[in-house]
Formats: sequence, C-alpha cells, structure tokens
Amino acid sequence: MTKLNVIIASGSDTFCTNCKLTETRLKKVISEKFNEVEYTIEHINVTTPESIQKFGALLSPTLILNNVIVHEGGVPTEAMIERALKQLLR
Amino acid sequence: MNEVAITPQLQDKKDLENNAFETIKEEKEQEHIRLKERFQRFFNQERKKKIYTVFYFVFLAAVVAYFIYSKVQMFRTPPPEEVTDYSQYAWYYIPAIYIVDYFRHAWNSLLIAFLLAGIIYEFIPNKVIKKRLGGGKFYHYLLAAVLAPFFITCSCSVIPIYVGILASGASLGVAMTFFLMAPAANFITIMMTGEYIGWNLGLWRLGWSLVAAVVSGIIFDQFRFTKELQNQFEIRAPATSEEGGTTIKRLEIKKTIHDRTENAYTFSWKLVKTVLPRLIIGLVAVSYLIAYVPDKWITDYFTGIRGIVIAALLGGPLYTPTLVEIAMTKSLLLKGMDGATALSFMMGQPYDFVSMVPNSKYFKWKGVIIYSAVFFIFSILSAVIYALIYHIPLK
Repeated sequence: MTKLNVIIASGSDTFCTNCKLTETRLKKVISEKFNEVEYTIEHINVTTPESIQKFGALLSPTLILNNVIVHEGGVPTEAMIERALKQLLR
Repeated sequence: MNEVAITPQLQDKKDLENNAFETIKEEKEQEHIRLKERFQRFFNQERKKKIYTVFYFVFLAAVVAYFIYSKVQMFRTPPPEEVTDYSQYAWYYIPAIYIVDYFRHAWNSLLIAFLLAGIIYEFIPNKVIKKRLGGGKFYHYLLAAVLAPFFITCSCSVIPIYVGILASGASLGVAMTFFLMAPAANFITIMMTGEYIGWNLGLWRLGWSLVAAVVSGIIFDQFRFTKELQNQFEIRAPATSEEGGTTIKRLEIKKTIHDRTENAYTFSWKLVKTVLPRLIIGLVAVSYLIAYVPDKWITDYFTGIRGIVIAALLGGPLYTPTLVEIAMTKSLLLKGMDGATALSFMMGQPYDFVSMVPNSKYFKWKGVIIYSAVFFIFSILSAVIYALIYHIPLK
C-alpha cells in the first residue's frame, strides 16, 4: 500500500466549484489507475497566514500531493493528474 | 386448401434451414461485437482527445472566420440602425422579442468572447501576476491595470490573487488597482462594448477606467492608514522552507496541447453556464424598461451635463452584470441618450453598493470611499471631455 497525502487548497473556507472538480478528477484517476494507493484528502484555505507561512502564497485551486505542489491556479486535467501521480509514486 | 403432411424428411429440412438461419444470426452478432471492439480500440482515450482538440480549433476558426466575414460585409454595406418600438407588442412577448433581437446581433461576438476567454485563461496563467507585481513603483500600478483585463476571474479566485499580490510584496494600492480594473474592463466587457455599442466608446471606456484605477491606487497609497493596514497583511512567504520543517517542492507536469484545449473549453463552458442565466434575467428586466420608459424622459434626462451626472450617480444603486449593462446602454443610445452620458454610465460600474461590502473587508471603508470618489469624478470628467471632443451639446 502506497500512501498519498493530498491537500487541496481553496480561496476561502467554503469549498469552491473548481476545488470540487479537482477533487472528483483526482478520485477518479486514483480509483481507475492507482488502486493500491491509500490516500487522505485535506482542505486548506490559502488566504490564512498559516497556509502562507507553510506554502507561500498560492492561487486557488492548488493541488498538493505529498507536500509537492503539483498544480496551481486551475483545475488539472485527468491526464495531468495521472502523469503527476506516476512521477511521484515511481 | 391442400394441406401438406409433415413427413419426417420435410421436418429435417426445416430444422436444417432453421439451423442455418441461427448460425447466420450468430455470425452477424459476432461481427457486430468485433466491429464495436474495433471502433472502441480506434476511438481510444488518446484519439478521442485528439479529435476534441481538432474539433475545438476548427470550431474556433469557423467562428473567427464568420466574425471577419461579417465585419467585411458590414464595412461594405452598413446595415441601418433600426429602432424597434417594443411597446407595440403584448407584455408577455416583449422579453422574448428583445432577447431574440439581442442574440441575433450579439451571438457571434459573445461566442468569440467566451472562446477567447478560455484561451486567455489557459495560456496566460495567473502565476504571471504574482511574479510581476511586487512593488510600489509607478509602473507597477500601470502593470496591474494593464494585466487585469486578461484575468477573467470569479470572486472566489480574485481574493487568493489579491492575497498573493500582497504576500509577494506589492503595496495595497497596486492590489486596489488590480481589484478595480478586473471587473471594470475585463476582456469580455471590452469586447462586447466594442462590438455591440461601438469601438469608439469601448476604447474610451477602457482608457479612462485604466486612468481612474491607477489614480485611485496611487491616491490610496498616500494615506497613513494604508501603511497601518498594510502591516496587518504583512505576511511574507517563507524565504527558505527549511525553518518550517517540511520542505515544499514544486513539480512541473508536462502539459500537452490536448490538456490545454481541454482546460480552455471547460473554462469557456463554465463561464457560459454562470453568465447566461444572469444575462437572460437582466435582459428581461431591460426589455420592460426599454418598452415602457417614454422616449421623452430619455432625451430629457439622459443628455447633456445633467445626463452625465445622473448616469454617474446611477452607477451606485444599479447593480447589473456587465453584459446586461451593455445591452441596456445600447438600447438607451438608440432611444436618444447621447454618447457622453453612455460613457459616464458605463464608467460607473465599479462602485455599486453590492460590491462595496466585500471590498470594504480589504480596503476598509475609507478605501472604498476613495475609489468610489475617484471613479465618480473620472466618469464625469471623461464624459465631459468626450462631449467636448465629439461636439455633443452640454446645455
């Protein structure tokens, strides 16, 4: 079992549509092609000082996998998520 | 009627025939399945994406080609501006007729605006803004104002950009310039003002919004309370991530042209889905306004210096989506409003009361009052200059 720590960053405390779309795409890719991965999803708000302290200023939505910023300021396509996962879990 | 007795021989023959029929049927079914599989193998994920990409670009090319074609046609034989008297129709027909009229004139430009919005969103990433705006020099204000039209963003992504700008060291004034310019003159607004009302007014609007946004940003930075406010937001990004413990890396994923087109058209489609319902509701309201407000009121109150001031004042309470506002301005222009008033009316966009409330969270009420005043003054000033240049009587 490979472990994956997912953080999806949004621009406010409520979860925006783009962030939701990012999440559904990620879940779909994992369930289709990376069955052995065990993952946890965490939501953060990029405008809080804690987030800026930790990650720097981010744009919404940002996808962070295992503390690596994978995609910032837009929804990644499924193909891109797949490529990122392949690189990270190799 | 001569009945044929079923002899054993005949029964055998019939069975044989049936069997042959069954096998043919089976073969056909298998053929069908084989074809289906071949079809699925051919149109696999990769090929499907390629087809989508090609289709997207062909569609885009067709729309742009039609746009150019219609421009050339219009240049050769300009169609007469017809004024439809909507009040002659029954009340329940008015919105329908108005909306059909609107889309008949505007569908092509709307389509282009939405498609290009998607392309701009994908090919000019938001990250640019974070890198370029770190400072309080004059050209930073200018850059913020020039860059803002290219960021068609909903409010939920404007706020992270705003915080991002501040965290990367920009002053509050630069952030304000960006904040004001983004809704006042974004790409779709300029495109639709130019196409639907006229490029003359469109460029005036763009230019003056730019000046007003830069001026409000600069003025805002001169106050002492701005410095205090800025200290509140003084949250710097970690210079080195070693102190935090966890190291933050960045991974650059390869982006193919298919990914880019997919992003572009999903963005365009999402934009259409959010904008269109509001646009239609707005157009219904505008259609009644146009049908039942007598022409005399418009020629009385929406011309000359009185018109300019009234239009500038209306910017506050009138909270309309930009596309609706453009349709309304066009109709009012056809009914006798003059160009200067139209300019002042459109310049009043950023200071409506509804968007003041969220903005006050970031700029405090003092900041809101400053930019409202600046935009109010500039909408009157620009309209007066417009009137003087184009010889519109100010009475």
